[in-house]
Amino acid sequence: MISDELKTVILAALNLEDWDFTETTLAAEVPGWDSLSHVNVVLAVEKHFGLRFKGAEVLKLRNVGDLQRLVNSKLAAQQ
Amino acid sequence: MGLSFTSLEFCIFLGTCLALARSLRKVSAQTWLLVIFSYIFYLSFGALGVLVVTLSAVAVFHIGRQLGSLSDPDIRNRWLWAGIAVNVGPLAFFKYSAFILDNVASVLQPVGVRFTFTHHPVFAIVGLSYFSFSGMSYILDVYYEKIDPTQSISEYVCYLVFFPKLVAGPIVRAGELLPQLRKGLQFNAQDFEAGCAYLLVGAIKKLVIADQLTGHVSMILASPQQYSSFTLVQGLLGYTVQIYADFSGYSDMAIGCARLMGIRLPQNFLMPYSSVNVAEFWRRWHVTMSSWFRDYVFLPLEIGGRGTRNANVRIARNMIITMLLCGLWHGAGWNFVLWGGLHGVALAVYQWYAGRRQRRLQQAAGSTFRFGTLAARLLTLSVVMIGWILFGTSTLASAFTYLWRILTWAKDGIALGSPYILPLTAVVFIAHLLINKDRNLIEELGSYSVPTRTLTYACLLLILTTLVPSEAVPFVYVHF
Repeated sequence: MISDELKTVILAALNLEDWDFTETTLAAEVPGWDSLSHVNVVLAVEKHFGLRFKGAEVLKLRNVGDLQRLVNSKLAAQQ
Repeated sequence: MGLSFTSLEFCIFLGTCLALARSLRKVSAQTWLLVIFSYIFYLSFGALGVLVVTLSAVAVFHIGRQLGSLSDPDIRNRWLWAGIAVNVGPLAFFKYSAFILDNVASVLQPVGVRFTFTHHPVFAIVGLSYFSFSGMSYILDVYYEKIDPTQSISEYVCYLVFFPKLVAGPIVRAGELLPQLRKGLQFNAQDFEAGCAYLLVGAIKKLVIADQLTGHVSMILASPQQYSSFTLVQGLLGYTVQIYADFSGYSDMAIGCARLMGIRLPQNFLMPYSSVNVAEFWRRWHVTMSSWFRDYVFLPLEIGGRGTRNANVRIARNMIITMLLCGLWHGAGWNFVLWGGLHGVALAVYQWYAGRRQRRLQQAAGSTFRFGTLAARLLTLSVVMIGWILFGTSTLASAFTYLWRILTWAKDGIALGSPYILPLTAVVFIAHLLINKDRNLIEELGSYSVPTRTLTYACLLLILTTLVPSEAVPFVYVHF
């Protein structure tokens, strides 16, 4: 399940008012989420959650569910 | 050279393949049959390519399995680099070694070191750039865990050598083709009709449009210093239409061949000359190649460099690097590199501009016909056409002469008249202007009534049979 916190960060990075994100949502399905704004989303998520992803971790992401799991695993590792 | 999609021999080849494939029930037998027919097809282009693609396929299949079974990041990295080397190595040797050595010799000559590489062997392998990129995307997708590696050698070889897309694309990803191969070939009336429609439209684009233009266009591009500026403008318009009709015609025919067996290949051309900016042009021109560069070059550069403080500089740099490589992919020559550089700079400038005026540009990207949209289309087309001068001429000097003579409106030189260039240019540009660029008319045709479809196919057949020139010309993009 996609957390409201992650959803808010993604929406702000994409300048979107609202979007129904699910585990299987692909970037290409979301208006304005292209190869250029992808970096903005990643940077916004890193900044908001105080995380730093490896390049390979970002390139492995297939959908929003993968991003949520990456954030969760990084936050768990920090604790 | 090789079996051409537009030859009678290929029709017999395709018909035989379809008849045999239809008689087979087992999926594995169908896959092997496609491998055998793909090898027969590729053998017609020369034995060396068959050898290279086979060695590449065996190596990449093995590396893919290793990447799928290992978890240690360091060892996986080593296999990844091995996979990249297996794909880049043949490209570097067969396509770029002469270019690299010639340029090294030119650089060293002023400092007194003289090399001559006149005996350097150059072997042109048709389709090398395409199957190398397919192999590379497979390795990267397995490495990034986007797909599971296939455990069947026949499946992987079939993905790599599948004859409709082998020599000039579309560059299909393994994630798109392998699941369809596993499901088995599907023979049904709808796919067969759609396949025939793609083949028919592709053949018209190639034979009726591109081949009619080739004669005059090639002469003008070969020696621009001999022709008047009006003739040069005609030549440029003709080349702009020829390269589109030739390559999109090939792609349509490739999609059509695969569709006859129920296999869906990705679309490669989406009315590119109707684009309102260069970024949109690259989402519509040679889509499978531009998305390849986006996913495997631009995106890793962007992600890796995301710490850079100035985002505009980072994006511009990455766009230019990506497009320079894209230019080099098309051919080992400075014309192609500069062509890529031109598009890279144009993309960077557009991106900077778009960032400042986002809302207005989003409005302009719509399909409605307005003066602003028309002006944006003309500006985009102008940039693209300047690029085609670099693409179509053989040397940088020739390209600059071409452009200079147009810009200074040189009246000396031969005034060559072609009965085809202006009418065919008008047909293609008006089609791009009037047809909704997001529609796929070939796919839509299947939903129309039987009389409408019958009439449409009859008209297309009539055009094809009455307007085909006497001499067939090889497809342009096969040489890349």
